[in-house]
Formats: sequence, structure tokens, C-alpha cells
Amino acid sequence: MKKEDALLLRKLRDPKLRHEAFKELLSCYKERLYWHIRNLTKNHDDTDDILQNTFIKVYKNIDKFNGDSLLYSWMYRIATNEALTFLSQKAKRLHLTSEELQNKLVENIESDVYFEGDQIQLKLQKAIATLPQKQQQVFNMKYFQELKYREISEILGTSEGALKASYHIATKKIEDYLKGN
Amino acid sequence: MKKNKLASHLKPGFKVPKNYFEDFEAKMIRAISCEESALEHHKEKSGFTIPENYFDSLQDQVLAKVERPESRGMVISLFRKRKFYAAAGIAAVFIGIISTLLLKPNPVNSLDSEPISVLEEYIDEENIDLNFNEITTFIYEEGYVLDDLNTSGLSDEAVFDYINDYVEDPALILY
Repeated sequence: MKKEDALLLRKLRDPKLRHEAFKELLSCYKERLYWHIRNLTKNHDDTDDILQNTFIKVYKNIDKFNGDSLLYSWMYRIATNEALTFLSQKAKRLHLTSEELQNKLVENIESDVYFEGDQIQLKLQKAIATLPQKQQQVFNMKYFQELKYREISEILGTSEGALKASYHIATKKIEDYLKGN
Repeated sequence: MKKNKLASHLKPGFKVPKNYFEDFEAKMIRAISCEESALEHHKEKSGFTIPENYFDSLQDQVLAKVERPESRGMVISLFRKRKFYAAAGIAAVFIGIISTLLLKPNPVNSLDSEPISVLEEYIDEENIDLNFNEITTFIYEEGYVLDDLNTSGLSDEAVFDYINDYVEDPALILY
């Protein structure tokens, strides 16, 4: 475990220092986790709900974090699980398959007040929506968040080699989609 | 005296670039804002934006939620016991009468009640999905097939012809 993580954890587990430590954790990770979730859900309001739940889970379960991984990768994993669970529940509620939901999410981007992208960025989102879920995650984390393969590997629990292959395939599919559309 | 002390620090011969300490602070601020610009960069790449001051309000909202004490209000029973038992008794009598008059028992399903053709069709349509290990266990360990199989009427030639015609893996013939 990193020194800074260990120190922050000690503070988080100390009832007297917990409040300040959690504020520190929030200000450090809120933006990174926000964009991670936003790339999966595409929508600000859903992202806001999921992000708040993520931090509440982190706060409640901090004693269960055993330090096997880095603190940020543990938090990313919680955020990913929360987002994927949210999406599958949303698909069930709307009686849609996960592919249909992805298409719907991208269609909604066009009318979203919190999207200011141009036609190319919209097309890119449409292309991402055609990828399988795991490839979407890898592509978002690498392309938009510019995480290192080592970091993605810790978060997703996949080998760096497999991630490189997955990212390569994803970019190829996206290129083909953009050329063909 | 002070001058001498300062001079002694320089003895090992280490030097720093000109204006290093003056520029250090500015460099640090640039490094921190670099991370912010990475997020700006993300917004530029994806086209997604956020409401103004969202991150400031988020922090307060989350803190308010995690620090809210769990309220433990007084529990008010929906039913008073005596009335509940009386109502439950009456309902039970009605349910008993209705079920004996209207509901007929479901016919019992068993393998014996189904015609053989239905069972064969079920198996032919591959509704029974057994993997290789399950099939092996079924044949060898539980002995359902081999124990009941009478092979006295089969000649070696017939067995060999069967294997020759139907078994594709030559390794099986060799063993």
C-alpha cells in the first residue's frame, strides 16, 4: 500500500479525524470518479446519483478495505460496479436489452443540455455504444481518462496484455464505424 | 557569524539552477493546475459538460448524507392484536370453504403418465443438456447403462464394425 493511502486510511478509521479525511478523499477523487461514471452512463443526473452512492459506500465500507490494492483502484471498482448495476436495473425497468439501452443513451445525448460536443464527438459516442461492455470500459478509461494500462489492470482485474489487445480491437472497430458512417 | 554558517552549507559543492527556489512555487502551481487541465481536456474530448459549481455542491451533499444520523422513529403497530386475530380467524374460515368448493387438485405429473413418444421428443430436441463429465458419471459411476447392458449377443466383429462406422476419433479404436 502507498504511504499516502496508508496515512489517509488511518485517518479515515479514526473517528476524530474521519470527517476531515473523508473531505480530503472527496476533493481528491470526485472529479476523476465523476468522469469515469459519466462515460458509462452518458447522463449527468444518473452520474450524480451513482457518484453519491459510490462515496457513501466508500465511507461505510472503508473498514473492509484490506489494502490488497490501491485505494483509488478500490474506489474505481466500487464506482464501476455501481454504474453497471444502475445500467442493468435501468434496462430492466425500461424492458430493454443492454444493447438497446446503449443506443437509447446515445440518442438522448443529442438533446442533453450538458453535452456540447460536435457531430464528430456524437459519432464517437455512437461508435463506442456499439462495443461490448468490457471494450467500452477499456476504451473510455484509456482514451478519455488517459489512465495507464497498469492502472486499468488494477481496476478491472485484467492483465495488461489483454487490455492492450482489447483497446486495439476497440479502436479498430471505432475507426471502421467512423469510416463507414 | 551568520555568513560563515551559510558558507558551510555550500561546502559539498552542490549547486541549484539560477532562480530555482523563486520558480519552485510557480512550477508547483502549474503542476497542480495541469491535473485540472487534464479534466478540461477530457471535457473537450468527450463533449460532456456539467452544471456550474457542481463539484462544490457535490461535496456538501455527500457529507450531509454520510453524517446524517439514522432516525429511529417510534414504531406504531398497524393492527391491535385482538382485532387482528378475530379478522384472521374469519378470513381463514372463508378461505377454507372457497378452496374446498372451487379449487380442484392439480393432476400429478410423473414420467409414467407421459407417453414414451413425448419423452423421446423431449430428449431429441436436446432439452436435456448434459456436459461430458455428467454423461461419463452417468454411464460408468452410477452404472445405469453398463450394468443393465447384455453384451452376450454381440460378436467382436459387430462391435468392430460399429466402431469403424461411427467413431471418428481413431485414438478410441487404438485403446
